[in-house]
Amino acid sequence: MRISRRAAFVLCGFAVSQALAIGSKETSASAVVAAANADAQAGVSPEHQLQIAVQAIDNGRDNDALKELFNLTQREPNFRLAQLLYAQLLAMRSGIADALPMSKADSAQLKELREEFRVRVGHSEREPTAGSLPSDIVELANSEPYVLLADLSRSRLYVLSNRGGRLQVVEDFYSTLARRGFGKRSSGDLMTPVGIYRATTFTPGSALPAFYGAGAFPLNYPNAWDRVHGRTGYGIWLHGVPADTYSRPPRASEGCLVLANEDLLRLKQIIHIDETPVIFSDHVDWVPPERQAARRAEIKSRIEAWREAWAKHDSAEYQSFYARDFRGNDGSSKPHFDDAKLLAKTTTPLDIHLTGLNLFAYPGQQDLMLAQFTQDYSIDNVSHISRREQYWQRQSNGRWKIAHEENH
Amino acid sequence: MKSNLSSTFKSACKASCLTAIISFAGVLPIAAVASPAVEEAQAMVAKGDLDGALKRLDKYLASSPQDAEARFSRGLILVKLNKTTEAIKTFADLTRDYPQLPEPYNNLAVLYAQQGDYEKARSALEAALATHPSYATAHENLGDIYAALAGAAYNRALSLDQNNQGVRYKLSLISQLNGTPPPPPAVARAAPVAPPAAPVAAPVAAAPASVPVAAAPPPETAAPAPAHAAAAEPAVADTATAPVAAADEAAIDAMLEAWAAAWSSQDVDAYLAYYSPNFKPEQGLTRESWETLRRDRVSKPSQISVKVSSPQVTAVDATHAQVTFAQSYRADKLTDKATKVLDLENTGSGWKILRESVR
Repeated sequence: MRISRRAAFVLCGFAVSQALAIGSKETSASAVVAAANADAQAGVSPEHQLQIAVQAIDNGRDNDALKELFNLTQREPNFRLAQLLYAQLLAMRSGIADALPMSKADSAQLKELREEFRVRVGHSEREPTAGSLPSDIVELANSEPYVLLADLSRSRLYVLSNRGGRLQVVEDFYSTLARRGFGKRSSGDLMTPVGIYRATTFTPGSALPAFYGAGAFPLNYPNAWDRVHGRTGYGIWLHGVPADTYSRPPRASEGCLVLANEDLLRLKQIIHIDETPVIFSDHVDWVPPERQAARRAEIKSRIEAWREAWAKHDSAEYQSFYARDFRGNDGSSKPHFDDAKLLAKTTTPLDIHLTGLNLFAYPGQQDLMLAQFTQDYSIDNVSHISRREQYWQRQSNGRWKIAHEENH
Repeated sequence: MKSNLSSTFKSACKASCLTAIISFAGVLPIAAVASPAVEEAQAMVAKGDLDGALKRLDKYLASSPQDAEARFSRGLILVKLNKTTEAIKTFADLTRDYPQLPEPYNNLAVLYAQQGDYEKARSALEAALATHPSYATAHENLGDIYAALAGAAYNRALSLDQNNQGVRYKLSLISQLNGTPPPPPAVARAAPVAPPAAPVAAPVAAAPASVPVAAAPPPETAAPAPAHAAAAEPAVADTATAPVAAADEAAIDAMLEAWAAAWSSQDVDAYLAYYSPNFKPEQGLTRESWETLRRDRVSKPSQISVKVSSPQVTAVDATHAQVTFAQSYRADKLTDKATKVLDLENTGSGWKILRESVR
């Protein structure tokens, strides 16, 4: 019943087959506008208001739904999906069968709005259970206050906060992705990439065409892994929407992730340029945090062993941590120590510190982990600090080895 | 906001507003015990002397500022004089001073709607219905307002041209202050009633007492019902007039025109919308196969012209009628003239076709 009522409403078409009774509660226009503002002030997001309205429809409380949608459409007149739901509810209420001036020309847009409805409302029914965490994030350094995680299969962008290693979803946004979905391989394939990125800058909307709305965070696609694997393309951004709409259909961009302008601006408080991890995952599994423990320990012990090999200048052992098909950033297939020449002059073991470790299960790829950390050591009283990224891949013999690495 | 809302409600309108037109009464009602000033003013209106009538009422109201009927009449004259702002103020003041009277709310709503402010119109009508849940005109107007709002929201949803000047809803002004609202729709349909009872002597005083206690508001959330059940909804209260009232005849004529126009413009969905869910196709076809056939036949020709002439309407009962007319059909090279008979039923969304045959 729940579903069928809603289905009759949005999913399966627009037969306005119900002439509902007429409510009699008076609400003056100014009172409702005030209520709309109150919602905004109370921090109820437009999407949450939409969910409230849909729930009211599901439960047969059409008057409540009508009120909520009125407030919402006053607050966000360009929230097209809200307008459509409002239109349908009003049309039903009017008792006039063809109250909506629909024409065939509208069908493509209606289809997109129905798709947006499915994605937005479907999401609310599959929210991650409290306490569970995305399996993509294995460890996050205390120095990273936030991580962004897009579940591309659900058109959802999650903001997770990190308080002393405790992760928590603090916000999540509906987002539009590319017309042909995700799994980008080449320039112009109209897909959103799957991978782990970071924002390289923020460009305010005022410096961009109106199409990008409130602004844009360009991402570092193609990243090291993409480049090694021959993925091409450029200009993958997180950006806003033009002023004439609150949101865009679920699949509409050429590769970018598109957010409502207010959501994009929220990210300005969250994203640290060149730091905050931005994960584009093809599918996020939410698992109990303890499920990660074994994998975390395994990779961390491998990294520690790798560090020790380096510290004692044991070249053979050091090289054993690298996969047979390893290729360095310079195209070399033979890994070598950092500062190899300097290292050759000294015989004392190096005191290497690895800090700020992030560990991610790389999305879209079986048995691949991305480790990011800061390495710090001194040779002849000169300190060498850099940020290193290592792609650890499980080999056929079960051993984790480094398939690719980069120093920043 | 205003111009935004005055958008294309043409298709929404064609089915509904036809039944809802109760034209603005040219002559104001002469209340049994209305004040002489009001009667005089009404007589002047009848003669076309609107300015004189307004002056007469202004003079009277200077000494009796609270006379609701005089103020109400004054509001109607202002409407006729196109002094909308003043008329709105007059009716708004009445709703403030006499919140128990539904008529000023209704007329206020009509004026708001004329200005394109459908949200305000909606609140006013809902207020009218809060005091008199069974007020048929308010119900019907509210249905149209909902449809207008629906159309506006729909246009915004699809970013259609909001400034496209379409046909506005024609809402019904109530032209008399009637302390006794018409009986609830269900009763009205069972026993067709003549025009509303004469206004009571002291409308203001009488109004609260005459609120029909029995007329509980309809349930706020009716169970989902198929379209044909719409006939049971309050929106059709007005169809309970005498068989083939002039209004019905006009509505049926207009519906015929619109039906022929939809057919001619090959707007299949609009065309099919004129057929009742209870429509029985000829030759034993199922509704579904008939519809498929019609979709094909109506959409295929590169051009269609359907003309309807000399319609004759006969009433069957309060909600059913039959219309016979000459139909001239031309599609591409084919022409056909026939005498057609349509059996009609009045549903919540206007007159719909039950049977279609050629004589």
